[in-house]
Amino acid sequence: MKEILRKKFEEFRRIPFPNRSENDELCDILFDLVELDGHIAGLVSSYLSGGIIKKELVFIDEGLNARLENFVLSSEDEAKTVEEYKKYKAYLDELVQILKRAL
Amino acid sequence: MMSKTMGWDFVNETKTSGINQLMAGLDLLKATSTGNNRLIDRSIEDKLDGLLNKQRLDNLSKFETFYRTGASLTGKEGLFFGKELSEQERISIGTSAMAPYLGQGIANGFTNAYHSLKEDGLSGIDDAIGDIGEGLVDAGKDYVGDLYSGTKLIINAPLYGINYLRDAYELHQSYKDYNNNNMLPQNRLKDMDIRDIIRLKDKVEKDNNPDNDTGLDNVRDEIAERNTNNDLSKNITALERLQGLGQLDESQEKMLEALKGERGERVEVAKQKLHVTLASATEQIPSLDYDLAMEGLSEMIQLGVKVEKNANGLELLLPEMTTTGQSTTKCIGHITPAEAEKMLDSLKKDFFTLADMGISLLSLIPSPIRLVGDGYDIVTAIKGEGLAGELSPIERLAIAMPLIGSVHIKVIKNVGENGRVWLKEIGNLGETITGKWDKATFDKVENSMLHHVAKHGKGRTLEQYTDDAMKFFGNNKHLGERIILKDGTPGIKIQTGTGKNKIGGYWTTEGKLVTFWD
Repeated sequence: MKEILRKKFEEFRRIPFPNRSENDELCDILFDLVELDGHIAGLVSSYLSGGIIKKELVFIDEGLNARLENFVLSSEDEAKTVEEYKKYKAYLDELVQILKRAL
Repeated sequence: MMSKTMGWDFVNETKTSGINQLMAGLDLLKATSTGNNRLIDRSIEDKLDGLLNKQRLDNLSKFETFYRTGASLTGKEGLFFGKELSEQERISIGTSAMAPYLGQGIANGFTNAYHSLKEDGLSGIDDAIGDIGEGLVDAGKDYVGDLYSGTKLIINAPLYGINYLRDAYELHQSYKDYNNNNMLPQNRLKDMDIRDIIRLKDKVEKDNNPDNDTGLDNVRDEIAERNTNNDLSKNITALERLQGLGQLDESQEKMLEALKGERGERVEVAKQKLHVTLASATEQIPSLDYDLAMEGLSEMIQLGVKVEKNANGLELLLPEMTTTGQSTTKCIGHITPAEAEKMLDSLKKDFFTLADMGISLLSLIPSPIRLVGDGYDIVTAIKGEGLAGELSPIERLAIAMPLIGSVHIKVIKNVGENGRVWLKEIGNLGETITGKWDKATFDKVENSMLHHVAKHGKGRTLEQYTDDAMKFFGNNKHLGERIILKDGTPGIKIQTGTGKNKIGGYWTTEGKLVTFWD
C-alpha cells in the first residue's frame, strides 16, 4: 500500500495547481483548496518518510466537494473551471483514501 | 524443521560471516593499495580503519540487541530461528526486550493523559484513557519496527560482505582497464594480481549460494514479501536461476511473474523521474529536478538496471533471463551526452557545496570502503580535472555511476531530506527562511517549503516566494481572520482582492507561513 501511495504522490506532485477563476465564489473555493492541498501533501509526505500520522487528521473534505457540486454555473468557462477543480480535489481525495487504508 | 541448536548457530554464523566479510573487503582494498600501487591515501586509510572498527563495534552491539529483540517476536509468530525456542525461553527474552519500549510507551501515555485531565478535568477521562492506549500502541509499533530492522540487518549481513568484496573486485578491474587504456597513471596499477580477489569472491559467492543454503528459506520468503528495491532484484535473479534449472514450482512461478511486474512498474516510474525531469529541467528550482532525476537513476540501478557506454551515450539495460536460462538484457532507455553533462554539473555543484561547507561525506555514507575506493577517481571524473578532463561527459558519468547507484542515493536521502534544501536553496541565507515557515503536517519544515514553492511559486526562488508571502503578511495582517487550521491548531487566514486578483495565505498565530497563494 505504501508503494501505491508513493507512486500516486509522485504523480500528484507533478500536477500543477489549478488556475484562478474570474468568479469570486470559485476563487474562494480554490483558496480553501490551497490549504487542503498542503494539509494532505504534508500528511502523505510524513507518512512516506516514516512519521506517525494522527488518524483524525486524515479525512475527505466533503464540504468542499458539496460546494463544487452545488455551484451554479453561468458560463461554459465556469463549467470547465469547476471540472478542473473537481479533478484536482478528486486527486486529493484518492490520496486520503489510500493513506487511510495504509494506516 | 531445524533443531534449536541449528537455529542459534545460524544466527551466530551469520553475524560472524557478515563481519568477517566486511573486514575481508577492507583487507582486499588495502592489499591492492600497497607500495607504488596505492589507490588510497594513507591518511584516508587510517580514518577508514577507525570508522570500520567503530562500525564493527556498533554492528556487534546492534546484533546482540536485535537477536534478543528479534527472537521474542519471531518466536511468537513462529518465524525464523525463534520458532525453535521453548515458550519459556521466548517469554524470558521477550520480557526483557519489550520492557523498555513498554516503559517508554506507558510514560508517554501517562504524560499525555495527565495533560488531558489537567485541561479538561474529569471530562477528559476518556481522552486520558485513549492517550495511555495510544502510548502503548506506539510503543508496540516502535518495537515491531526495530524488530524488522534488526531481522533485516541479520539477514543482510552476509550480503553486505559480498557487496563489499564485489566492489573491491570491480574497482580493481576498472583500474586495470584504465591502466590498459593508458587513461590513468600506470604506476598506480602495474603488477596488480587479481587472482586472489577472484578466488575469494568465488568462495564467498559459493558459500552464500542460495542453492546450497537450507536455513535461509524462510528468510527469503520474508524478504520477498517485504522487499526493498535491491531485494526485489535479488529475488528475481534467485527465482530465475531456479527457473533455468527447471526447479520452479507453480507458486514460485507466480511470484516471479509478480515480482517482475512490480520491477517493471518501478523501473517505469524511475525512468519517468529521470527523463521527464531532465527534459523539463528548469533553472528556477534546480534542486527539485536534480533530486528527482538522480533519484530515478539511483532507483533504476538499485532495481538491477545496468548502465553501459556506447558510441551515442549511456544505455540503460534491464537484465532478463531467456527460457533456456541464459542471461540477457533489454535496452530500456538512454542518457545522452547533453543529459550526462547536466547531471555531472549537478553532481559537481552538490558534492563540492558539501565539501566547501566542511561536511564530511564519510560521515554521511554507511559504506566508507566504497566511497574511498571509488571516490578517488569519481571526484576527478566529476570535476573533469587532470586526465579525466580528456574524457567525454559520458565516460565521466560512467565512472561516477557506481557512486550514483549505491552511495549517492544515500547522500541524497540523508543530506537531501534533512539538508539538501538547506544547502542549495537556503544555504546562503542561513536559517532566515526556515524560521519563517511552519511545518504544518509535513515532517520537516523543508519539505513543506518545497511543496508550496513548487505548487504556488510560479517560478520564483524559495527566497522570493517567502519574501512575497511575508511582505503580504506584514502589510495585511490587520485583515487576518482567526481560524482553526486543518491540523487542528489555531491560525490566521488573510485574503485580499476578488476573482483573479485574489491573493492570500495561511499563517500560524505566531506569524509563521503555512502557505501563500498569489
